[in-house]
Amino acid sequence: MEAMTTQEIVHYSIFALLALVTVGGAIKVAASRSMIHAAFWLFPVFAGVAGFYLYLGAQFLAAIQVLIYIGAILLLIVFAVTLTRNAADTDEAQSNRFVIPVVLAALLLVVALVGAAVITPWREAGVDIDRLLLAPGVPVTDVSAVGLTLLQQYLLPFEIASVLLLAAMIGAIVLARKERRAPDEALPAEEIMAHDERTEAYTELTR
Amino acid sequence: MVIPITGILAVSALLFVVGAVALITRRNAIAALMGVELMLNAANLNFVAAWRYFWPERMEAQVAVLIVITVAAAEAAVGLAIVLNLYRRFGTVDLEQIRLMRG
Repeated sequence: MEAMTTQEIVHYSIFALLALVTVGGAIKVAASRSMIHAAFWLFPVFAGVAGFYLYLGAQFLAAIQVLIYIGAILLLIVFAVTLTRNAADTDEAQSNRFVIPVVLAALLLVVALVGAAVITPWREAGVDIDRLLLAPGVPVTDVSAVGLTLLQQYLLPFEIASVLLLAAMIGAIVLARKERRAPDEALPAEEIMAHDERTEAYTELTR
Repeated sequence: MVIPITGILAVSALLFVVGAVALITRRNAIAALMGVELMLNAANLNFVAAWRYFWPERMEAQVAVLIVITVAAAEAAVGLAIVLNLYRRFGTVDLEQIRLMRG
């Protein structure tokens, strides 16, 4: 086997680092006892996926990934963790009774998925053999092409996504809002009657 | 000459499976939502890998990833709002203890 060139060494190192950060972080997310630790272990996962996007040449998606996942979703999850009681304070198990069969099934699924990727005859499927291996020097994403595709060919999904975001925003506000009773309006009937009785007793006393 | 697509697909498969395990086994509702986020990230990584190796001149995969990220943001917002509501009502986010719809 011939010695690897410097370029190959750099590519394999980048790939190994990104894979380690992403998968290792994901395993820590799934296994951490402390919820706040699990939430913060999401950061290397999202950052590693953003790194993969950059490595694959999708720099626009990498920026979006950092903005939306790290900037918004991660922050939202950390807030939700801090607003709820941390179950790691107790000695209870953090996983339910399915954990051993599920992990075994997951290992099988990994073998099946990776095996399918390995044995698929990419070359025979008509895929250009030069593209099967990521070659350096291929130009990165033309962001204007993404925008044109989004706003010309896929305008309807784009609009549906924006309506979905609006609906989700309103739904989240309604769901997370504290219930606040309007005076006299939302009181249950018994409370109103009790209130009236008290008022009558008070007026009789002061009469 | 360098990284074959199989490597990227293997990373994405691992990410997906770890997310699925977190979704199924974690008792904390927020941790289960984190598992969903991991699975969506794995799907997006597959989209980008397929774009890069097979159709780098077409942008459908990136459009799909953008829409998936939008839906994931909506899912996180509504899901966490529901979890906060559950916490307010039951005083816990333990999925084993919340059995309102389990009969």
